[in-house]
Amino acid sequence: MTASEFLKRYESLGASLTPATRTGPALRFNTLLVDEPVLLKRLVDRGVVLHKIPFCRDGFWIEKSHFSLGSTTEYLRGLYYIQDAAAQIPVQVLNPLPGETVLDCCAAPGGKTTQLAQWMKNKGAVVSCENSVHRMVSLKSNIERCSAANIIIHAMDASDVADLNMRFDKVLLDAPCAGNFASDPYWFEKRTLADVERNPPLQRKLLAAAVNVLKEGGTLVYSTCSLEPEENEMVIDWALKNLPVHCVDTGLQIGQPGIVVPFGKKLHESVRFATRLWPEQGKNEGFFVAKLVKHG
Amino acid sequence: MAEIKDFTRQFTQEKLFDPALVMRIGREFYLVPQALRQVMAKTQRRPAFAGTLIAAERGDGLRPSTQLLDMIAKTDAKSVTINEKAEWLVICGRPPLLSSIVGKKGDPQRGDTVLILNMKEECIGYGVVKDEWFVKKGIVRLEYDIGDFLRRERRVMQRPTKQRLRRS
Repeated sequence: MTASEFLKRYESLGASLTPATRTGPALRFNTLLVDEPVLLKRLVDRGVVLHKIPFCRDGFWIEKSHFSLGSTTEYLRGLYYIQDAAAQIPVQVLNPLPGETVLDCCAAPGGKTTQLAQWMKNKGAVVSCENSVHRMVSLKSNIERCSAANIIIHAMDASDVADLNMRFDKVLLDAPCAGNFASDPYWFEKRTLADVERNPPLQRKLLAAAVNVLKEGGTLVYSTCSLEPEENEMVIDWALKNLPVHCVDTGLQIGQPGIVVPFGKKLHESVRFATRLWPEQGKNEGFFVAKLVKHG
Repeated sequence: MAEIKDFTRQFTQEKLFDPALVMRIGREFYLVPQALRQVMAKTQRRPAFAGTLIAAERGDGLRPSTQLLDMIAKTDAKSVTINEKAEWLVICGRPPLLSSIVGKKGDPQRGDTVLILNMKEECIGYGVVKDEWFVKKGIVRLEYDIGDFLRRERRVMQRPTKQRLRRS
């Protein structure tokens, strides 16, 4: 499938995109270690130009920097985490509170994991699952760097999470997906529709496993960085028809509602409560986020 | 636990944490508070990581975590403070020169293990004083610096896939 064919798909979903659209670099201040004004002054004093991301509590776009922000003392001491603006949204929608027990499926490399700990002020517990050996190194390294102290990692597939014999107040499922072209310049060359179609069975399996260990009344946030309805709205549609959950408003003031009729297929009405972000030049990559609540 | 005591004694005799909270997982040592232990007790699985990493065993000794170095930095431990230019070199794994040292705490002498602090008093590594203070060359032999965060991931990615799997 060529770039133009993918772009035609997106056009039929209501988005007019160009293949050159690229996300803007962004970072998240780690308020576990530093107050926003202190770090902001420190970076500004070094000539870094930052612009507050209006829809992220702790996020800034990097407008200008004369050096790599991935190797500064501030970065290595965990004062900030380099993370796309859209990728900061799922934890915000989940809104984990200090003292809660939260499941983090598919945790590596740890951007959202450390963000969970940050929102929970290191109180309560984040139980993370990761089954890739070399991604585990990045995950541990980022947790250490960011001084997150309430995380337990299990080297396991999140679809086996029932083996932990635990129930969770909240679950974050940032599912493996096909990704999107705004964060990968070679995406169109690498991806086919077959890749996109390969993911939903795994996504549904993970979602079912995650809902199974969620407490009644608990909240689950499902997210991907894919633009494809097969990995997003259609997975949520399946969940609404097969799992004891309902979809609620994400509360976000940005993006568009989930697509209820993608490619002529009518989905569950409440899929519209999800939020879909199309890539925006210099701002954010594409993203999808849905908030589900488990009923009794 | 003895390895950690031996390590911290190089810097200070002060008590840094409650030893009862230390948990060994594989080759790593963690501080695991009671609240997390209660969560862990619900499952029979051994985790891969829990709480605050304080140190990891490596072939050539113990690699302290940033958190452990920060705990040590709050004590009477000996330290040297280096200027901004040297801070960058240390992060790249280069030893600080005498000319870059702008402050000392605890009168460190040859053979002493010292923390290396930047101008903001943040610990960016540690090393051993290898020369007398009047010698104008590499004065502190670098044992660890926070640039290791960048190097350790690179090391893993450079390993052949089979080796990465075997090490799991």
